[in-house]
Amino acid sequence: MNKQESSLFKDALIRLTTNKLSFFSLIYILLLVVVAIITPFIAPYDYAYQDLALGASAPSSDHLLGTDTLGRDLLTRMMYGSRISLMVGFLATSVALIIGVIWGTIAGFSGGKIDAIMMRIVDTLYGIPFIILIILLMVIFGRNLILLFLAIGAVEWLTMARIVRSQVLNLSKQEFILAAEAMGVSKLNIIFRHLIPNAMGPVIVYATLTVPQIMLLESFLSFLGLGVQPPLSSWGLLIRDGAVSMEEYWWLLIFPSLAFSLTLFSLNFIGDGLRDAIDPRTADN
Amino acid sequence: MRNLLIISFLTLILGCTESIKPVDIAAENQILYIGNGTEPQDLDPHLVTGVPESKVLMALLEGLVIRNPDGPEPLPGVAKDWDISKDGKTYTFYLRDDALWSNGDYVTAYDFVYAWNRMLMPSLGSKYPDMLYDVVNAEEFNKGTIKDFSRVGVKALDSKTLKVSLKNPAPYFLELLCHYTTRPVHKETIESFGEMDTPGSQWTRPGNFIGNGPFTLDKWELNKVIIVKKNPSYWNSSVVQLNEIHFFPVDNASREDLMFRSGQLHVTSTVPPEKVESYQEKYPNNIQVDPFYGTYYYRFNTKKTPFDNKLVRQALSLALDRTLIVDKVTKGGQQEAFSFTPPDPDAYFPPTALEYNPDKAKDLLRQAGYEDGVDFPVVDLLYNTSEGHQKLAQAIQQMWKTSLNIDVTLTNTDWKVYLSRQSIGDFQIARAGWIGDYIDPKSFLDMMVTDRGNNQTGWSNKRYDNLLKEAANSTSQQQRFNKFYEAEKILMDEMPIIPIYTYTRIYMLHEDVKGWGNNILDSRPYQFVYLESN
Repeated sequence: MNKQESSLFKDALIRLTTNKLSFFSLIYILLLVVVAIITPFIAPYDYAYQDLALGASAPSSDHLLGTDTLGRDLLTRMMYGSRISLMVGFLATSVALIIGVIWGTIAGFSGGKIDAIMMRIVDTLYGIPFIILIILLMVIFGRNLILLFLAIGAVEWLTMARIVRSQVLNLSKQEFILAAEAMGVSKLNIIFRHLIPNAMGPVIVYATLTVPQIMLLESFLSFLGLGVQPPLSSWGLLIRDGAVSMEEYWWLLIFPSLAFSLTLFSLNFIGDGLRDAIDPRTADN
Repeated sequence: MRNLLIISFLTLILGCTESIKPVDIAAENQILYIGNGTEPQDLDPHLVTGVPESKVLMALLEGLVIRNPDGPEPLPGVAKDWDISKDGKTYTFYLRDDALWSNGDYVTAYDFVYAWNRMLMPSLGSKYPDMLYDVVNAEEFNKGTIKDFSRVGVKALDSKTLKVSLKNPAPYFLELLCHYTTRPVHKETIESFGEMDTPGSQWTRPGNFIGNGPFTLDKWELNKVIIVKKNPSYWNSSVVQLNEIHFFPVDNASREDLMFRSGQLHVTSTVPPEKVESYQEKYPNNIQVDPFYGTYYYRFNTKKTPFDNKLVRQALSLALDRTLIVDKVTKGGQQEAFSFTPPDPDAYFPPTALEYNPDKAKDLLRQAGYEDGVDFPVVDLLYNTSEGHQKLAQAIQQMWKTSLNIDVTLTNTDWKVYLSRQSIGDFQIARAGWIGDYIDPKSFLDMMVTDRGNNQTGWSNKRYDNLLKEAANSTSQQQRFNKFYEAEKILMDEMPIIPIYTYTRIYMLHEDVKGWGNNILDSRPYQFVYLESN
């Protein structure tokens, strides 16, 4: 059993690296993460440093990507912004992933009354306006970035749970699960060894789509004064600020948007690659 | 975010298909579309304090006199005529016979007595009762030392004659009567939705609201639009050309800008600061930069550390490079403010003491016990959501960090939360703006008197209070101004507030809007406004 599983993941990794698009995407994301981590040591300026007299200036040798309307270096701000955006994206997605997958699997596998109750809870939570929930959390726990990530994750798991449940409902009627049950494998083992790995495909695709969605959400919350506060910035905020003055200062919109969309594309390609690679049904040996 | 996308998308579609924009057919229907900044707190003239509210109330209620769109001299409103006694202390107003409420009732002198009584009732909790403190016994009644309103100096001699007695001559009094706080309210309506002193009752809702202005309240969709319609029972309705005015509460300046450019607004409340320069070239006929009798400032909560220390407040002011701020950040032709009162067309020249001196600022902070910002607590700066306020707040945050090494966090909230947090003192530094209610230094300086509703800093200074009292009792304008000058010197030394710049009213105006007028208080009675396409 163990031997077989480790080879499954090895195969997956090989399949992923042979897919060029997802391979380069993976490299790009890894690079981005590395840059984000070492930003404080390599950033050309301080992210809050303002040169008011300079104001907004186009890309030049002093400021490779130009400066914003308060004379702050755009490259620096994008580097610091990537830290926030990536952190929000990955942290919140992991929270959503963990809660959603566990909840969905248990509901789908248990069926009957437990399923009904668990899914009605999901439906109820869907009905609660997201913004109000976040504001409530902020009021209770104060303004705190980590908490914001967790709060977003705690709201974003709902769709995940539904996707997983539908997958599990489908899977649990299949022969290999019935066989495992007949052989007396414990329920917990069935869930974690068989159901979750087999349901992973759509989950991973949805997770890679959730990351960009959450990055956008973060910029929206920050604008309302609930997320990142100036002078710190995130990509979403940089793009929003850039969009306001795109006719006057194009570079403020173009560069952050480029970085943002490249990241989103990469995450999607990785998601696609991962789905093909992990799904045991596409195993070719 | 989503709205922004939708609007930009719509703009794209509209631009491509050349379909009809709202402002294109507005002239035919005489509908004026106004970007009104933010959602009004309420429409009760005795409770509100903000500019967005005043724009709507301008259409709904009419006072004894109304603002002249082109100058300082007020025009007759509900009062067709008035006498002022020689000593300047007694005003007798003769109300016109055809002044009606929108339900057909006559507007009488009793309505004014009722309205002023209501505003001065301590139990109503108005923030603005000091507007009427020049009236005999008004302050005493408002503070509860006199319970009997009949002793206050406003009397209805008969249903069409109103006599107002002042405790001191007030050369600005007629102008002050243009302000919405002095307008009448409909007694039966108020009392059918609560007591006379119930704040926030349903009487201001569409369908309930009975007004006497040129327009009536037709629709109020929260955060969407307020629609007012021409009032056929208004005494001067033959002059009114507009059929409807739509007020849009758009507090996002770039969204408002998109709405203007896609032909959905005639007038905007502001222009995004980064657009000002390019619009002066691109839309020279639309962009308006009017002088404006107002000051943009930050207020400190002087009840809380560290701002209970005068040296800290002075240090923060000295660390501001106001010239850089108006040249590089706000960019809308604003003037750096060196005093609280804006330079006055009536020849009051305020003390201009405020300077930019980071070294002195550091020194003062050291004297206050925070050498080089060490041990200085992280303080919070509160402002209402808007790009302009945020940009300035970031610039100032950085100035304080660089010269004084103190950390400031920024908190933005929506208009209502912002107002209520200030009024309960739940802030450390807050952005504020004050637009004169009439052209006189008193309109600025009086609000800083101890416990005034709009003081909101907790600051109190006996000598300052006395100087303003002396100013009120002065016999000559020169003497008054001298007292104001002395008082303002104290204010600018104590610094419960730090003035930053003198406003300009900067906005976009569509070519079809006519009769718009020009005055530095930016109040324009809508009965004189009309639309005409070129």
